[in-house]
Amino acid sequence: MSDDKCKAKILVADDESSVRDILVAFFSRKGYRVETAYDGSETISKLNSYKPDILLLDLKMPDMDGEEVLEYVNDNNIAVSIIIITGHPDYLKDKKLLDGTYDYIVKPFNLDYLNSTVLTKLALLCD
Amino acid sequence: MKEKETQIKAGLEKPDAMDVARIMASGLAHDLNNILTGLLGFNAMMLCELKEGDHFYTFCKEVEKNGNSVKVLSEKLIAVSRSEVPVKGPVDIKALISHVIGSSAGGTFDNVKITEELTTLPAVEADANKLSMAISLIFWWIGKHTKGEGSAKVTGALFQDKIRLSVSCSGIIVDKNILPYIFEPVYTTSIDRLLGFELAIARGIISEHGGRVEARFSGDNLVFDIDLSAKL
Repeated sequence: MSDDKCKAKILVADDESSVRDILVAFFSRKGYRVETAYDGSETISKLNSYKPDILLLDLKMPDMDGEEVLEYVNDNNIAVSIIIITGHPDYLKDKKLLDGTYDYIVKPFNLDYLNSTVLTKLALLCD
Repeated sequence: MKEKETQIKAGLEKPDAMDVARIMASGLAHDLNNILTGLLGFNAMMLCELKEGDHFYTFCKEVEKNGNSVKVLSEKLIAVSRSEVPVKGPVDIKALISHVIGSSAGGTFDNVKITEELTTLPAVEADANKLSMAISLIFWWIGKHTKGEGSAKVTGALFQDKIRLSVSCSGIIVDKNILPYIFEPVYTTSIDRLLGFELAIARGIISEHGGRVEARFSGDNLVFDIDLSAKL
């Protein structure tokens, strides 16, 4: 897949600025278009306006949390591939998100591993 | 644990010290992991731009090494935050104390040199990892509350069916009036928020083992007495 074939758009939804900054820096250098959201409300707003291909979604956010965003996406049939990013693995267990519906990655993560997960998801979109 | 945390926050359940310590450890681990994501991530990107042999490459590798050490600390906090039942077995208490002392360079915890003068004692029925953590937390607390360079000595004695470990430390800066509160999870004399929880966590672990820990002054020395059931 080349940038000519698929100019992928990524939305990074995390209330932690250090996480948003590194993901913007990393994926921008890889040639993706990247936007960010600070909380659940802004995430939903950008899902509708920016229409990303990939959503990197933190679970613990102010206002609406990640789980509420997931419910919104499902209820409104929004076409986006979601990778959950979390700072505490037990938050996944608590929210029963380990049934295989979503990919997830625990912070601090290996950026190349995250990129390969994104590429896998994008390959499914661009084919 | 999350359900209990929800009940506590809703005022439906009263937290004990261990609950508070677990909740704080969980939150701290989460926050540390967020910071580490940025720190290790940007460092990894810099390493991609550098070649081995470049002196900045060496600096970045040191950052990576230290960042990974903090990652291990975060994983330990996550372990503390989980309500795990201790897995107990017979533990040689002298060997355990020696191991904890040896885990810090030169047996020094924040400029406090800790030594042990333990004779052969009966084993205790304990989860060695958890009990080591409790002893470490007490040692680190002593280190952070000692002015300048200090020293602490661990002695032990058998009283009927109990082993009493006594950790006697000099140069402690804790006021005697504060002594009744030092095991409470909300007490701290420092901006380092961890200091308010080290002794609460240690006490919780020792309680899980059917033991108890108290603190007293003997002259100017602060003494921690840790009582554990001996395996006779």
